[in-house]
Amino acid sequence: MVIATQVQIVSVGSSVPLCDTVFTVHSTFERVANLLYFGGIISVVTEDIGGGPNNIVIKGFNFLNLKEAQIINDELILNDTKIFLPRASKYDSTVKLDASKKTTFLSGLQIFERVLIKHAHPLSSVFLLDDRRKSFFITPFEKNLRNQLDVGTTEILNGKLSSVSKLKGIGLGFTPQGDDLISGMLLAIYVYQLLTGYSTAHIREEIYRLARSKNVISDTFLYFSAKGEFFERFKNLIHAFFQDKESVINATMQLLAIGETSGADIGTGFILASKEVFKKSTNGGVLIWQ
Amino acid sequence: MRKISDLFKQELQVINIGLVSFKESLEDVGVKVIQVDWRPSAATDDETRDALQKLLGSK
Amino acid sequence: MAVKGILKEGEYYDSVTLMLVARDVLALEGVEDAAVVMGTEQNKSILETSGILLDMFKNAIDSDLLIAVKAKDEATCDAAIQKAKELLTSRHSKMQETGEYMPKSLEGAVDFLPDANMVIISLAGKYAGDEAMKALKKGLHVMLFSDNVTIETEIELKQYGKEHGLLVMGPDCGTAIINGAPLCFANVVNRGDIGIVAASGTGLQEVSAVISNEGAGISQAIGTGGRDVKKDVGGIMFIEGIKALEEDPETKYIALVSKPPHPEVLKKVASLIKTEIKKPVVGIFLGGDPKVVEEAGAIPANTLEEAGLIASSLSKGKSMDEFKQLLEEREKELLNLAEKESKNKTATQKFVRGLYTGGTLCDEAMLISRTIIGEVYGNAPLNPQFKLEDSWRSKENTFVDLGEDEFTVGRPHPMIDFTLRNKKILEEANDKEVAVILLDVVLGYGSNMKPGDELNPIIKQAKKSAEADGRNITFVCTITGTDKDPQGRGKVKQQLEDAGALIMPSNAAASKLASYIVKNIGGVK
Repeated sequence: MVIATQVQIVSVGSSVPLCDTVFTVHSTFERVANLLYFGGIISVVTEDIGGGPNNIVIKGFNFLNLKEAQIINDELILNDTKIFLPRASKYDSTVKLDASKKTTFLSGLQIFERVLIKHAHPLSSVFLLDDRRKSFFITPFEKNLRNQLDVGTTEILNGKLSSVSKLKGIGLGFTPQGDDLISGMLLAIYVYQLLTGYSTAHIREEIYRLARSKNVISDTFLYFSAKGEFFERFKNLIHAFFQDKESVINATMQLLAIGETSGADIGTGFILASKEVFKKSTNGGVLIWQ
Repeated sequence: MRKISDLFKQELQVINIGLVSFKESLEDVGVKVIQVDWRPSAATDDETRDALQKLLGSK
Repeated sequence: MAVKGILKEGEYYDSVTLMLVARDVLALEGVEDAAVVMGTEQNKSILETSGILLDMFKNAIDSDLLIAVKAKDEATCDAAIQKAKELLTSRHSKMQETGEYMPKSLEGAVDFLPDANMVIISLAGKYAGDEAMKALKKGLHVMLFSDNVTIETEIELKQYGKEHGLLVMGPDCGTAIINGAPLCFANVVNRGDIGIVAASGTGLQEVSAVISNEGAGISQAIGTGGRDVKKDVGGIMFIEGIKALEEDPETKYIALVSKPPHPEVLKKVASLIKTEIKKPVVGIFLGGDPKVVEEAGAIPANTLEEAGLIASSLSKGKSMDEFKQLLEEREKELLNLAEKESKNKTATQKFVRGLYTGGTLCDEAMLISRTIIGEVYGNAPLNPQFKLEDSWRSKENTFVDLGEDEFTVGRPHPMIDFTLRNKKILEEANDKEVAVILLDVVLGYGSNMKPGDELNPIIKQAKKSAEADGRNITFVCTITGTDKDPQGRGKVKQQLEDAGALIMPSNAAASKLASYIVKNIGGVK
């Protein structure tokens, strides 16, 4: 007996347009379908990817076969499948943190770093956190790639904001590792603002300006990171920092579990930038990048 | 407290992880079954884990 | 040294896919460097630094996929690029073909089948344990088909299962029948009032098929995996299985099938039967002392078939004498048949070659033959002194289990893929010393779907080539299965008889017949 798998909506990001829209299918993966429309891009994703500001999370659909997508009368129509879009199941991409718990945050960050070093994909950017991982890069091309990621990141962390344009676009897939590192840094700077009260908006805007590219997917992702809007997996991780060690480990594994380097790359950028800004914060401000 | 023998009173419904032929033969005899498209993730992939452990020492 | 590449427009892949493709290409002989990347400015500059930026890449844009290879010559480059293209295509294809939605995880599957109560796991052993524990924690019963699960993991899973009222069948559990449904390698049998707990896969299949063919039926058949009754696991699931059958109102009789359990496990089983089990229990502990079974409070059986017959007699309310009579008459028939078959053998023909696909069936055959013709050689013999130096080369009386590792590495199990045994059959038929070839055919789900079609021509060919040399070879076959099996026992039997084989009602009868013939012609050592 074949089980008829019913397609269901799990959550809808707050930036997803709910008016009638015809999308162009940009690209499809096993767990993600990226859809273009005049105002930007939304992603229809599986639960393993989870919620995001511009994500529609659904279960029960084979993304690789997606040819046509539209929203009409509160229904998401994927090929011939119509799915009701409940306005109630919004994903909240904002993070609220208790400013008095900076120390807790920093100890959570330490656990996160350890788990990342132990479990992340060998060819992810985590070599930036642990030199021993450099030996995973073997070919001349891989070594040059590694060096460029290293140089770009180090320069940014040393205060040279313009190096963002050096780091962006580096990496194999169509969400380049360099862009993910930058996203992680943006999120760290935003968390710094939440925990210290210093406004960092102008820095985040400047980084986003430098990081923009023709890659709409990456661009959208950077845009939300700059605004301080979190994807579900990362939001869960930040919240876990304020719970126990086990929670941080679980949240990190969830971040890595989708089998991509993306989670590890964002995490690396987040850790490096957090260490940097909180180190400097004792003398008043972030802000090596003012 | 649940008991193994409770299973014998229920309709058998199966989740199959692995060989697809096991799912097909259950369908043949009318059992509800769903196949999982399983693959090792980066975090659980043994080769990756082994490579990492070798490199980083087992801590 | 040559550098070549291609540019593909508008193809999107995640970075791990691209890394893995590049690594696979790199593994090819003569390839020095390989990159499979999106055409961003920064990536192009890295290609340039690496000396693999082709002119055609210079105007590439972010959404172009670039494949660049540096290798010892142009032909190697071309082959590598071709390989990369193939790998990229194959990674996109599987789900696009079927279109059927498959959840990616156990969690996803539970969402779609919220009343699911059983998880069958046949992943590589290293992953299987984790998935099994996940399933148990969700309150699901588990059938672990995978082997290569560590003993520690097995104990942990079974302990958890015991504490939470969940079945953990396996690791290395090939067969079970739950609520009438055959799981993995199992036969389609009548439903009835006999419950089985078995630590042996083909043993369970043989007993349940005999029961069904006798007109009785199975309520539940629980497999535990062979290691369950060893000392370390201590029979956790064997014991929990018996208790579950005692509680099950549909089950009136219980049959236990196993190789001899560890003495400590046996002690526990015996004490359980004596104190808590009110239902009649039949036991076959292959190669063990039937007295031990009797002392444990169970009715002892000498063979798998006998266990099935005793259980059936109980279930049908017949007296024990009836089946004993049946076996006694059978014995006479076997002796007569053996007498007849012995007459047409030449002076060189002395020995039997058993070519088994079912491990427990092979064990049982060796145990039975031992009492008639003495020890036989094999790849897994009863007496280690009779282990073949080379599993591929038979010697005197030999019984091989073709399901052992040395035969199965890199190919499907011999119950599914007959190629290897077919080859062995023809080889043995050309051996002047061979008088009898003994075969098992295991039907049911999971097994070869057309055993008759495959074996009929091979048996004919084997007999013919021996006849050309003036020899007559007797083929003795046992078919484990029922008419309800997808292959149909009756149909397979007819096909094998058409080829000139003698089909016995059980493995015990088949091994006896083969041994009697050998005894008659003086092949006893």
